[in-house]
Amino acid sequence: MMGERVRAFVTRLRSGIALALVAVGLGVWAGVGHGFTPEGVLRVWGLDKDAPGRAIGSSAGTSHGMTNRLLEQEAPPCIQVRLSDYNLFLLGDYTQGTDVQGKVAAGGHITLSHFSVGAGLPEGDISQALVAGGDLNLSEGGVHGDAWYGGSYTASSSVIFSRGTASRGAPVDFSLRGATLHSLSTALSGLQANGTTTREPWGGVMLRGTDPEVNVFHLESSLFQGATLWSIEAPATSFVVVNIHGGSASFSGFGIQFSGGIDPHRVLYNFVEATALQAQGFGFWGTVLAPSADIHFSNGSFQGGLYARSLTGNASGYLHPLIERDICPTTGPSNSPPTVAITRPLDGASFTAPATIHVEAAASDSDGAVSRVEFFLDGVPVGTATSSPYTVTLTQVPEGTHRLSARATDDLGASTASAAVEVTVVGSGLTLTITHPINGASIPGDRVLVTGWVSSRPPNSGVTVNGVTAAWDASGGFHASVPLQAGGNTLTATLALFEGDTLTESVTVVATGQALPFDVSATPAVGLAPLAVTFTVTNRTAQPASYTVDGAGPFTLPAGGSSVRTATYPMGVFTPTFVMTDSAGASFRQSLVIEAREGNQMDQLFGAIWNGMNEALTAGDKALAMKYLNPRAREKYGPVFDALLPFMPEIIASYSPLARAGLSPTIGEYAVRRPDNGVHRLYLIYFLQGPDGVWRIDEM
Amino acid sequence: MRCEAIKGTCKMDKKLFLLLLALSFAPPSWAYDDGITHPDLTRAAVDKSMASPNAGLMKDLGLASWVGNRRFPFYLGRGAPSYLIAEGVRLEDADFRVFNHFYDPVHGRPLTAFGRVWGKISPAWALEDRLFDEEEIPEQDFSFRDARRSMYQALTTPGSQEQRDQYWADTFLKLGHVIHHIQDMAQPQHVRNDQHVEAWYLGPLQNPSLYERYTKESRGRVMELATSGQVQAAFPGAPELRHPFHFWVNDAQSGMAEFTNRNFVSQGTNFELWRDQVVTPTYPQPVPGTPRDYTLEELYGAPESVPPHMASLCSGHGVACIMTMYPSLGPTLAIEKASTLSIYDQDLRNKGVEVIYDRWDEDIQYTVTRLFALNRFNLDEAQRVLIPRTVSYSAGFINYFFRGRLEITPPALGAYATADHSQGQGFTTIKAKVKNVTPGETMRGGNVVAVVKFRRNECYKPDLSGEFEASPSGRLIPPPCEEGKTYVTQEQFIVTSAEQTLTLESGHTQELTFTLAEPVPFEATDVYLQVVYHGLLGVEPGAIAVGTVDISEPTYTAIFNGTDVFVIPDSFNRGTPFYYTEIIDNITRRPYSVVDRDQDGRYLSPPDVRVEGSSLHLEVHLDGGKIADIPALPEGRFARIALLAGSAFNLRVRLHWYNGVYDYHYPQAVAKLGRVDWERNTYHVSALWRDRNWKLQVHAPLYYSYYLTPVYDPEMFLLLPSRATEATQPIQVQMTEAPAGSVRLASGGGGVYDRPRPEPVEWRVPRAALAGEPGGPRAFSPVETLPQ
Repeated sequence: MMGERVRAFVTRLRSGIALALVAVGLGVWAGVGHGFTPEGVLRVWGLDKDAPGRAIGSSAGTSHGMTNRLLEQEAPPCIQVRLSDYNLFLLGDYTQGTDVQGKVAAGGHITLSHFSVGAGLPEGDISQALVAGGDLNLSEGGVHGDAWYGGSYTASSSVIFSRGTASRGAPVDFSLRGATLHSLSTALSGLQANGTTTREPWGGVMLRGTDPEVNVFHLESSLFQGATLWSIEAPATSFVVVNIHGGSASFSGFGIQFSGGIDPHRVLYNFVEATALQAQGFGFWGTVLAPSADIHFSNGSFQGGLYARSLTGNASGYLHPLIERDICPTTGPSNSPPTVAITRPLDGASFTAPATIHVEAAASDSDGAVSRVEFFLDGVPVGTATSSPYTVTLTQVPEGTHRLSARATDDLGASTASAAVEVTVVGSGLTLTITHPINGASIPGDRVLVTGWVSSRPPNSGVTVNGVTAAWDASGGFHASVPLQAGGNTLTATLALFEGDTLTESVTVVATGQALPFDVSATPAVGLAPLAVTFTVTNRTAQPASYTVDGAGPFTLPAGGSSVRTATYPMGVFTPTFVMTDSAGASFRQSLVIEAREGNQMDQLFGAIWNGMNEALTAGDKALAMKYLNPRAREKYGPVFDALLPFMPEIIASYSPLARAGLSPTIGEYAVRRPDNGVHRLYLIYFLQGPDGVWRIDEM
Repeated sequence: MRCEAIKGTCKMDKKLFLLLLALSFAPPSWAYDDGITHPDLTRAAVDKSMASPNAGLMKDLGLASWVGNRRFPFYLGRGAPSYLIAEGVRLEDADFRVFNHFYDPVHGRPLTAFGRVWGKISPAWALEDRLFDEEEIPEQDFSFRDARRSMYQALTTPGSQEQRDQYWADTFLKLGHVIHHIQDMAQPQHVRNDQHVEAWYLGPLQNPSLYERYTKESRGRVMELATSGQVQAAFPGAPELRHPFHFWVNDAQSGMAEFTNRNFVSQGTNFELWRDQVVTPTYPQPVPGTPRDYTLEELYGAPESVPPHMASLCSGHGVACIMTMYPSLGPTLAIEKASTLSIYDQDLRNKGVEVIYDRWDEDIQYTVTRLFALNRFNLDEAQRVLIPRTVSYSAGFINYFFRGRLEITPPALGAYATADHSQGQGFTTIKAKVKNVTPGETMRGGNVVAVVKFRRNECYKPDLSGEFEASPSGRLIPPPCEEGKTYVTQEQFIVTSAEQTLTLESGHTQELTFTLAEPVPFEATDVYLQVVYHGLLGVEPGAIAVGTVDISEPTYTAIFNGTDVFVIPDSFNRGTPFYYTEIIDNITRRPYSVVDRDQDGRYLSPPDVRVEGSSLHLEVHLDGGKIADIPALPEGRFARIALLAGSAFNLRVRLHWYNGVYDYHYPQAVAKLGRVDWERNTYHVSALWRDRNWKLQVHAPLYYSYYLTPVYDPEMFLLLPSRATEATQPIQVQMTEAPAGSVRLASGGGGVYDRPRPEPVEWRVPRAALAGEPGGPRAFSPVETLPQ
């Protein structure tokens, strides 16, 4: 692949000559032209491809001295990114393995089982498809190219070489390449960020770059804790360098999304300091450079190169080679960094959990302008402001002592960090507890009944466990049947208050993740009491079996057949437990959650929501009234409230009481009657239960 | 299972695993309910499509086993096509794929919310078509394009049947993923950029859809609409549906996205009026019609149907409660109760207040004086049209996907393939007439390959002793077989040909010759021939058309030179065979002496009857010309030709004899059959007959000499065994092929024996065999259970 060569900080030569400085170093070469113009100096932070400089931010100067200074300044070396040769390159060991389409090299031992290496290599490029600096131990798999080993070689009879052979030798200088990778990682980490990084309240890690050439990001690995999405937006033509700082990082439970045209061939994740990386069920889109990291990576894939210290696990490698790119960082005339300080809250301020904190910073730049101020909570980016006043609002800040800080960046890229202020968030007295399963429990199967309680259930609140809406019982206990995956699982119960605040509690369990050979379902599982529920138990084994329900039975289950039973429940939450016994005597247990609601209680709940909104409107408190609405209703009715707020007492006084029209598990449908010029108009009000378990008004 | 062995399977399993995992862990949702609504709509659609059980799709695709019993590997078990399509529909909502489920056909945009674009437009994501300048989306593996690719792999990939079955599973699954989009396009919010995300962790940002919730909760009514007998698949029958994108948008404005967008309002894009004038900030259609007041009784249909709390709310006031509803007027449809006045409408009207909307993310500001809301009656009206239509389009899309059809008939030659059985190589070339029977669509410049699918008779021996045999009484005798081997494998094998280009208009036929990558072996049984076209069909690039025909098993025609015997009639005028050497050696004794015409006690012909044999020069012809030449078939030896034919063929053999040319004609010779019916556990099989005391052939013209014409021919299976060296080995034949239209042989001739052919019989596999008891043939019952 032809490399793309990018030059930075090249000014247009209107007269005079270009001075080219060439610096040759390890993995680095430079070809940077410096020029000057009699009219002044272009201050450029830009990257351009074999073309005169494109000014992103510029200010004209008239001093000839500045021109001279520019000429005297030595260009920084270009960083030559050449990471397209291997699908997987390790300085140490590679253990377990699965399918890697491209070339694999490991300086240590390679031990692979049930694997495939090099299947995606073109016919003419099969040399060094699999290279082990040490021992090469293979079983049950296929090598689709030449293999090399420096130590011993073992291969089971089921290892197939579809093309190529295994030979002893050392075609790769791992120590030299290791030094190159370390050098490259360090050099990339020194690039100045020009993209923005935002951590959304809902868990999105949003990287946005607009430079058509190179977009550089710096983020802390802690940013990915609890992340739900990693979004990278950058132009299709650009090259993205994501510098990820921190000694370790974990990737699980979320995915990467690209937009703006960028693709995996143009994205490089540089783990600068990481010595340990953990990834599970995750896909890296792009190439990973982590020369110091030992990686445990299972049930996932790397859609590009993976250059690291070692790898253990069954992650698959796919061929999306990183384009070859030279990044030539800019230098410019001297620039005074900006100043920044947090002005609000004051150091030592105290809040009540779950807290909403409004943070404000003052920033200025003596020789230019402040381009942005980034805010950090305990070192994690939480927002960016690009104009004064520089503010960000933090919601749901958990209990504890926290450090708030800010970093200002000026128009030339210089940045300054503020002094940190320390704030304390104290508890509200509301407690959320998971009583079952206990932390560290081992769970057979792929589902568990999670139960717990809230100290005093706030009105119109909801609990979810890993996204499953829990059923409340009368005493404030909650119950949810939650799916599990094999291995470690974190069960997080989230109490959502209708105002938007949340409280969470987690336990970790280990599950076999093995699906039961029986299916148990309830229809309906939620409804108005008395609730007639039909249970269907299906035997997926080829032998007859039996089952009990809460000790009743046993009832027979034909081979491959189903058994249907019905039960009627009074108001309340019930967790019937089914125990299936197969022909070999093995037992399998599954609990369901049945919620029989009482119509009058639902009427009261919806009445409280309706009245709460109307009382707020009567009081002129639009902000409070809006909290009773879901986002779409807020968007629609907010301007209506603005227009009608003065008339609201009169309007609301004309309402009849709410009358129930229909109730279903997730919809409350109610009617209100109003007189209107001699007729009685009827309006339907809709309440929807959100995925957080909280009911809100949706339409009226 | 090793990834190396079934690489695609392992990859797909991983991706499937991740999708299943993602779906079970509550991703963000912008969709109909994946546990209820999507599966219900899909089941209804499949039932109305050619993928419905009994509709014959499986047979057309060469997956002959049908009646819903065919299962394909899926995750931890196996599933029928209908199940896999439904699973694909369900899994399309997994992970962050939901970002790509929107398409605003008016502005050509994907979901645009919170000030940014999310994902791609639905058809670009679902189709991965070059129409959208984006042929391959790295993170998309479940598109129409991917489904086509999997289908082609399923049809043409050599190797294990399990791998091809995996590709079939992928095909149905990926098709389901695409159909999900057809269904989403019938939800107005998905085509009017009306975001309605549900994700528990978004807290107050989550925005559930009343339409989708209501559709889920009114399942019975939705199913009634979806399964109505009046709902028919939209394709075939809609000429505007020529390209997959036309199911979204087309010239007739009947595409699902365009139809829904232009004829329906959504909750977030309801009517907007300013002083009775339509405000059109985003969507110009539909427009509101003349409003009408409805009483509760009218709305609910009858007084007793009004919910009691509502009924009591409206009683005792002297005036019946009313709701004012507006019809919608779209370009192709008017909806009577499209929208309802909101609770705040009367206040805007009575107070003369205007509401100002500032949609910052779309840079639109406008003012309204009326306010609308949607309720169950409006949603019912929308569902009444949209639910049947999405079922119709989903079913139509399935039909569209599988529409490409070819009809295969035998070539002019009369057999698909011929081979010299003495060489043991098998069939290397296939000829067939191929007709494009895809209505109204031309195949233009695509590639076409032949695929021969077969099972193996593991008991096969070159001497045919591993074939079924019929006893003289017609009883079927299974072949002897080594322990652990079976006369018909459950595994199906395929051999493919090199690709060639094809252009063929609809209704036109062309004869094609395919060179196979490897021979179809003689031990093949249960043989099918498929021709697969891949390329431009109509206006769809990369389409696939398939033709499948059940052809014969290797059918053996042996030609004997029986002139080593001479038949002499006895006193009852029944023919009795003798070795002619025996006759010559005993010329003075009866009955041999009858050939000694001059009664001189020694054999000298003439004048004696010529009894000695000789090599024969024979030509073998089918309808279309000569297929083999046998210049010198020694006495006591035979040649054997194998054919792959249709159910019958016309056999002609010309003998060049010392005293003339004799033509033998066997019209409509029945080809050998070996067809497995897994559902009934039966194997329809033709038996070979013994001639000269060993199993040799289905058809066997045997040339011998006789003295006078006997009334009764000798039974050839009792004919004296040949004493020739290597008598049981066929001699090599010069396979030729005369051009079609070459000289045809006359029928008739004499001196040829051919016994009646047995009809194929149905061989029911004994239960003992199914149970795997020792001694019986190996079970070939499909062991497929799991998901319904």
